[in-house]
Amino acid sequence: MNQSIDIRELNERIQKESSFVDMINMEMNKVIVGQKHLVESLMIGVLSGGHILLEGVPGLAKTLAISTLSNTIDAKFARIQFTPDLLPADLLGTMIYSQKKEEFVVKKGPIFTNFVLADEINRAPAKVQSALLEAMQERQITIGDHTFKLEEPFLVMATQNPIEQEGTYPLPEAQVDRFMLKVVIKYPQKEEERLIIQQNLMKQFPQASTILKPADILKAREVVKDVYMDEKIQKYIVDIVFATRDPKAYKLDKYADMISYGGSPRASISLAQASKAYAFIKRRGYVIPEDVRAVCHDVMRHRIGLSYEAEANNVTSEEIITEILNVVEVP
Amino acid sequence: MKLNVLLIVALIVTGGLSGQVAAQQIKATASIDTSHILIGDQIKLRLELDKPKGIEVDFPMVSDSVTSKIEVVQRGKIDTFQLDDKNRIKLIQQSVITSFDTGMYQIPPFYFRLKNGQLTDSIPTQALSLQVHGMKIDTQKGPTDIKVPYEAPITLKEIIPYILGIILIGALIFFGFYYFQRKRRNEPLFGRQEKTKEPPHVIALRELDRVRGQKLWQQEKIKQYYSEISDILRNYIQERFDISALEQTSAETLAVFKKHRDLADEKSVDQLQQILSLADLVKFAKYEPQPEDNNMTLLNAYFFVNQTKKEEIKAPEKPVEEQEGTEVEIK
Repeated sequence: MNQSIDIRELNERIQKESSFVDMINMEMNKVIVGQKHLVESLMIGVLSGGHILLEGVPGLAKTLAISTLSNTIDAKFARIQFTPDLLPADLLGTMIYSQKKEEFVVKKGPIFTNFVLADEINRAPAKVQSALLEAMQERQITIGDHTFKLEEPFLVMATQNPIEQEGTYPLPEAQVDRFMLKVVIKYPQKEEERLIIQQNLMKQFPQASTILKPADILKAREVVKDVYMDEKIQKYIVDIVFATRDPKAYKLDKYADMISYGGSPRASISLAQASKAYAFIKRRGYVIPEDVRAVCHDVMRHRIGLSYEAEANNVTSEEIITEILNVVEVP
Repeated sequence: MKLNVLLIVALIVTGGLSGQVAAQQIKATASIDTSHILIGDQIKLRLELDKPKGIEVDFPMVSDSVTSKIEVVQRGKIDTFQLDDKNRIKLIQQSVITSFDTGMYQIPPFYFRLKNGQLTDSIPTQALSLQVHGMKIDTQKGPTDIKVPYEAPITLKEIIPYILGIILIGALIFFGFYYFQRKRRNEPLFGRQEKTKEPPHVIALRELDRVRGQKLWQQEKIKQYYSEISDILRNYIQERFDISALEQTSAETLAVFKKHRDLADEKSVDQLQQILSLADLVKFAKYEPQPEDNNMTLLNAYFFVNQTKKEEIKAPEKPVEEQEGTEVEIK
């Protein structure tokens, strides 16, 4: 059997370049018990340059996961707790007067790092959210007259608590769309929870070793971009996104009144990028429909607007995505 | 004293003259449709008054009879008409009269009472004559039978039940005929007869023959060749096993076969896996198989369909003697 040269070369390259994925997984598994989906989503975010919105109750190792990831990559990490009195300057930085130099100098904020954990992003007012989301999109920050490029890799992992919604500022749809993935974290399994207790009681907290440099991640990103995506897969992605916009065209009439708006073109782009990153993680040089389906829920769940009717009928975006995947023909 | 007497005489003379002038301006007429009627016939008596506006005139009271021999059947209301001369109006009253005695009768004048201040006057109509004729009796012919009553014309209301009855009987005849026709042709009473659905394996084998005949891979259309073979098999699986293979990935479809081992034997599942995996590589990874792989894939597809097809078991024909209610031709 002969394989076309491009793909064979690419596969070999990916086999070589993606070897660190297993190592990172190993290191992270040393520290974090369970939460494999969270770890996988973080890897997708890092490799495709997309930001992640995490939803889960407190105490599910969100902070630990991102700090461990930054340790394995030898990257800088900052955790910012979003509060109602937080100001954009607290996040981005500001100009302060230096008596020594007798001039205004830039005091950079905590966002000048590789990995940012924006904890409980919906507790800060819109202006702070907006400042963060602008930095996420532009990957640069302007303070006074100075514009600073953010250091790559730059990944924001924002968390939202699904409970205690009083006094929060829900992210507007346009801003939620800027997150490539919205990952819903669930409680660990019984056995996993028992291990967590055991580790804590014995005061055994393994440390993750550094195995990569940020430059390696940037190099891996270039390889991810080269992962081959066939036209058939592109059409499949388009079909999935279009089904969220026009369910009737895909024999999903029952959801026609339940979706107020479907996925944007950014959703299609994110789905394609995340599928490529997922294929890379699986050490493949090409995307298969399984990759698209694996990341589809995380990419699409925050991009489908539900109508009042859907809420009244307890129909969730999860259910709609599952149904779409069951209806759209796989290439 | 002499002067007073002269004044009274003058007043009486002028008052009388003005009454005469008013009476001359008022025209009262009476008329009937005809002056000759058959006994019991009804004719119209018309009283008309042409007068200036503002002069009060009382219509004569038409009682139940005009004379002792002429009866009033119906008294009409007084209608008022505006004449061309806007200072004048016409009042008309029409009554229906009849007579049940033969002879020549005189209708006396009708008196309209004119009121002019303190003075009253009456204006008579002309007298009318009415000849009432009796039935001619043929004394030569002798007594004859009483004539039967005239038949009243038939109304739509009377014939509707008959029309509905005819329609109902027609409909019953039609449905009876329709029912026996359908029964004779062994067709369902309502709806179209379902076309005999071809068994899935027949369709699949025919499609595989078509793909073989097209010689796609020989024309370097390898991707199309594998896409068509995998689509034919997925359609076949969907129809034959009721597995939604078109909406599933290859791995998902194979997982169903591996879970339900009774669906197909191990060898067939292995061959299916080989076909689908190779097809996925060709479709999504630009894989170029060897010519023998192409031939083998098609053969495997034939093998899978033949191994898993569900043959329709034909019911054995009953012996002629056992058949009931069928006509047997005896030569």
